[in-house]
Amino acid sequence: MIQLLISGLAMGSIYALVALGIVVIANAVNVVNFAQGENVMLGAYVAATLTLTLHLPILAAYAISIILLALYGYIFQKVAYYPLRKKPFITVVVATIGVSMFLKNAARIVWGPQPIYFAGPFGESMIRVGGVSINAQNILIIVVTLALVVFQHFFFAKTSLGRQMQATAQDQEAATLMGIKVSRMIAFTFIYSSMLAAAAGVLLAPIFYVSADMGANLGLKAFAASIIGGFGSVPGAILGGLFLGVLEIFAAAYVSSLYKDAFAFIVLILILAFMPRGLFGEKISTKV
Amino acid sequence: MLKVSNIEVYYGKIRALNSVSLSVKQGEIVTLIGANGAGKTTVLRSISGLQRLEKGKIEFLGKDVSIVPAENLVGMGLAHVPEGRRVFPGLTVYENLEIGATSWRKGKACLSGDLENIYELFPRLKERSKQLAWSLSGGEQQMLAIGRALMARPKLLLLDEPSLGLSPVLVEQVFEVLHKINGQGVTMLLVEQNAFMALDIAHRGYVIENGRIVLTDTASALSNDSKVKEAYLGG
Ligand SMILES: Nc1ncnc2c1ncn2[C@@H]1O[C@H](COP(=O)(O)OP(=O)(O)OP(=O)(O)O)[C@@H](O)[C@H]1O
Ligand SMILES: [Mg+2]
Repeated sequence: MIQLLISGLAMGSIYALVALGIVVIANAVNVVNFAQGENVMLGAYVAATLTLTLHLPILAAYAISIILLALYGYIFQKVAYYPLRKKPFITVVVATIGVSMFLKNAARIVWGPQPIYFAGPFGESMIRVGGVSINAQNILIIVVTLALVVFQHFFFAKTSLGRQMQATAQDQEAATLMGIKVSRMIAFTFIYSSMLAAAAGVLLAPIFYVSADMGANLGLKAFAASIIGGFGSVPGAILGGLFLGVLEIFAAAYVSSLYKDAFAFIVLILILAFMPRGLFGEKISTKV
Repeated sequence: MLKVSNIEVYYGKIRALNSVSLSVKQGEIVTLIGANGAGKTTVLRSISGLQRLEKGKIEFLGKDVSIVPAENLVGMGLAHVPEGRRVFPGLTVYENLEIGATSWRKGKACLSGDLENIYELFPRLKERSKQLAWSLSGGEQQMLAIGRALMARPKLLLLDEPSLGLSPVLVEQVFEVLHKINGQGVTMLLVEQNAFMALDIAHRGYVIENGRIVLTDTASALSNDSKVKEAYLGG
């Protein structure tokens, strides 16, 4: 029971991180980034290569992966967003789908079709609490996610850069009139979102195998989570992600693991039908 | 202080401004009046760099700013209160004001002097300082938009229909504050459909029709002009 809940929350934390990355971009530039799942995959592969091939210590690999993904985020927006920023919504979304397919196929060519396993900083070790033993990686995932959420809140609410990014997300033209460098703020938003993806990737790898296909499912689930929570809402993305993770694990344990994915989408459809604004509604105050 | 010379602006193939020229001198309130769709907003957007010029030139404080990016103009002392207020809905009143100082503020430089001045002009903003901007009334949002622009410590303030959607009492209040701000040394270019109020506080005025300046004179002369009376002052 406790074990299930912890693994559900761990998986849910990953969904939450991916969903956050999607929501931050959606709020800032009104684009749904369908490549976010592949960005997670990229972060995981980079960390795997750094540890398995280049034999770097695992925490260094994590850090370098996050830094490289930040750089990637900058390039991504320069290539896939900036030239299209005045085009209709759908054009940009299609571009992100194009990037996701490119990344997936490139990963297959570079890293081959075999899934790669790479252990986390704690290997396979289990933590015993009371009578139950819990996978240490799951605890790490939950703790790091929590820390990132707290950091994000502080960053956007309290720092000058965070405020400027919020203002840009809310009204680009008005932000320009304040002297805010809007295109720079948008670049920062993409960089931040890619760093979130890298964090999700390195945390997820030890419990999930790294493969070219891991991104597609993850991206969809995270998108579903953000809709379940109320699209555009930051707390909604976090709670939606956690909810979905826990739901899946319990459905797999008590109903059937075969239909684990189906559950996620059944819930999504029910929510869309009966609570179109998501479980937690959309509050303008929570937009980033 | 501001000199606009023969500017032309297009939306696609449609010409919105046709050789518009106007000037604003230090310390003045100059108003630009005209009917719906005459091109008033387009003039202000061109001055603050939001709209690309096809032809013509804009000089501010003696410098050619025709191609200076909009985000750099505010640092030179040109603030724009846009049409429709455009406050940041998800930020508090205080945060909106704080972000108004972005162009000159370094690090955590103290804002209390600037804030005090604005809270004195608009006591309502002080009462509401912790409230999110979307929850303010239209009048309060207009005060916030003006206050936010003042936080930039502007030399020239562009105002796009500050009276729009406000009750007559509030319009009076807002114009009174504009008069005070002008007394503090801020020059203004004021776009209005409410020609009566605008000509009341302005020193000079321009009348724009279909993207062309058709008339310019002192405010009192315009108030007595028969064409202006008929078209903009209700006969
Ligand atoms: N983004 C745009 N695309 C196309 N045409 C536009 C655009 N903005 C304005 N126009 C046109 O340009 C002309 C001038 O518009 P502008 O908004 O400057 O007028 P205005 O005097 O400010 O009007 P109002 O009093 O209604 O605010 C109008 O004919 C308008 O339809
Ligand atoms: Mg207008």
